[in-house]
Amino acid sequence: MSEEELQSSESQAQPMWRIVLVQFLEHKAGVVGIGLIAALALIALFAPVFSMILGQEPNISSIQNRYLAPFEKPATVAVDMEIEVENFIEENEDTLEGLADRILKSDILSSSEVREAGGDPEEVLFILMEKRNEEGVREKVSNNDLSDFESVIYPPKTAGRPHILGTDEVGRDILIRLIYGTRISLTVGLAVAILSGLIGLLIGSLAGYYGGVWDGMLMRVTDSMLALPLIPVLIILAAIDFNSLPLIGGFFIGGSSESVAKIIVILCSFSWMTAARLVRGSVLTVRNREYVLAAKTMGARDFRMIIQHITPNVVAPLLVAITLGVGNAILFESALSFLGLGIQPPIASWGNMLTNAQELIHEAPLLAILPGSLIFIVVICFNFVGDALQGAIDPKSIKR
Amino acid sequence: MSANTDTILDVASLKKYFPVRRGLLLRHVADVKAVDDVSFSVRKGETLGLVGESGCGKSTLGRTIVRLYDPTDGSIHFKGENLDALDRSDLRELRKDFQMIFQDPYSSLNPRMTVASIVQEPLDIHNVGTAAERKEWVRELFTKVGLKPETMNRYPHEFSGGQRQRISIARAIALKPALIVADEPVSALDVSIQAQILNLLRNLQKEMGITYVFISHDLSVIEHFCDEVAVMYLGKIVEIAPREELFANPKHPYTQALIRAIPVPGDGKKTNRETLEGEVPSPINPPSGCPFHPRCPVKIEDCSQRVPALLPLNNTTNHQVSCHLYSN
Repeated sequence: MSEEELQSSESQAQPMWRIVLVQFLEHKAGVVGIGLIAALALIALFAPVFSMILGQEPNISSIQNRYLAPFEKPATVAVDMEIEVENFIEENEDTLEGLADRILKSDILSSSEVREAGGDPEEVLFILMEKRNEEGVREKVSNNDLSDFESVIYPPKTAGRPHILGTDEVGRDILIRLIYGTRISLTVGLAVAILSGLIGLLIGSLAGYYGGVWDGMLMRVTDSMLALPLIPVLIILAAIDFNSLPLIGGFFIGGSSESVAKIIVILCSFSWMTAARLVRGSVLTVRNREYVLAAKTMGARDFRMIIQHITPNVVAPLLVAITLGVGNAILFESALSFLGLGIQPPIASWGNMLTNAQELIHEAPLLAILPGSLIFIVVICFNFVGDALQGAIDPKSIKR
Repeated sequence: MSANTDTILDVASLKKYFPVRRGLLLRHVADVKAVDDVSFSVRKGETLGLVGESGCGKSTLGRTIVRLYDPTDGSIHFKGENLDALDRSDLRELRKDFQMIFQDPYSSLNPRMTVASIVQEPLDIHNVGTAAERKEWVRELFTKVGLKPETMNRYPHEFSGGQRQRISIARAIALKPALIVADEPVSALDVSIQAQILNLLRNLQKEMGITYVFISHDLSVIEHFCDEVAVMYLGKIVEIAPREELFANPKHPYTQALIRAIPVPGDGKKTNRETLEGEVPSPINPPSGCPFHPRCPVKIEDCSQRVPALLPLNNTTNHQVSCHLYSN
């Protein structure tokens, strides 16, 4: 065989990521999961665009439009009467002269009522507006020469944009709040999972690589953290005002996203332990694998050992742990927010949308069902993705 | 034995203890004496077999020779150089000349690298030749160990155990080393594959003049493959002799027991062979005197009192044995 023939008959090296991708695609549930997550992430990313398209804002409440059914249009656009009247008077000062007389003539108000107003056109208008819904008043207004005032006494009814999924207990649009809630919940979930994965990687590899006293100390800390009853501790921590703490208070993010930053910090500090144990375990195993020993006998330097041999075989399981951790973090965020200790209103998160829903579960079940099923779907999706990833990156499971 | 010109490896009173640490402060409470005062030497181009039960320290000895472990005491001279006296970069340079083949063909290859890059790794580490030359040499190595070069861009999981061991061998010979420590290279393989791998190792030895330290618990493999055999028990060499001498004329009671235990093909009838009783004692707390005396069928009073030295049997042979029965 000539050199050329040898070259052509040689199969091209498949990069590891392609093998992993092909393996991953074989896991149907994982593919569906990552598709749904990607769709939700895109929607969350473009939340302001959706807000524009739907013509709804997540934090605008409207008392008149509480508990609207899906697709119901809001009855009236809320108008501040006083401001409207003042503006009208300012613009039409000349026509106001003789208003009281004209009203008396039209027989809408009695003379005593006009006298009560003291001839002040503003007062007269208010009294007129109070009576606007009485029988026959509207006809009297338009039949007598009061039609100039019709527009202010009877503001045109401008029907608002429909609320596709209805409104909540303060008249906020549920759909846009769900979209903004997705933003918060996914951010918190991903940030917590990734950050705690990194903390775990640091602590686990220190413990695994250096061993001895370091290992003993770090792992005992890890064990103690795991032994803490999580929910009570999280509740206590969530009640602390981080901004008032010495040292970290000064650096802590304040303002409207404070509660988001706070919950990320709290959840991170209690979810790195599994990752740390996992990484320590992998480092210990990999360090004594024969291929690492072989590299050592060949005279490989530390850098090559870490980059080529140890890291890939430690990061792979960590990646799976991080993916599975996202679901967990979302659940914990929801639980804390549900208890009123996580994301603070008016910022929407799936958890705090559930809080108010519980009281009206019979009257307005959608309020609970929608955020609840989003949590359920996303968590299960992340679990499927983690499962698929686990199968895909484990070289032992690679089929021929 | 003194270091003459054709001695390539000379190990003198080598000790490797692993500390046992207990408690919160990891106090040093004891030592596992995995290799305890071992001396031997190997001539260039020959094969020394190290044989013993599992846990006797033969793998530790092998790993200490290739400096995966730092010895606790004693010295290793390789090609006349004291490995202990070398600084890091000199030792790294000398590592080209001695390599290791491991037992488990499944964990000795990084699952995330193609086999070509695995075989090429020693060349990369020591910056041998240009990229094209390396590739060419890797291809040649594949042919040398009986693998198709077309398969070199695959991953280890696509190969069988025997093929993987061939890949390990290709990696070990990539830098044309003078010495290879083979730690149970065939014990994880089927018997039919074992013979193929042993023949491959032997052919490479003839072709490249490689010296082997061959570790095995299987006496029949040792008998087939080695020029000289050292029998280890509890971290010590109890008997060392040329192969024919050892198998024809075993002196130490432990060696005799091992040889008696080799299965012989027969008519299926049970034979009444004497076998060893008891367990290997703990290397943390070895028995006094001769480490073998609790299990020895022919022990005398001296055995539990004094540690026997490894002494030549007589002046004419290089058969050494460490037993009080022969010390007079």
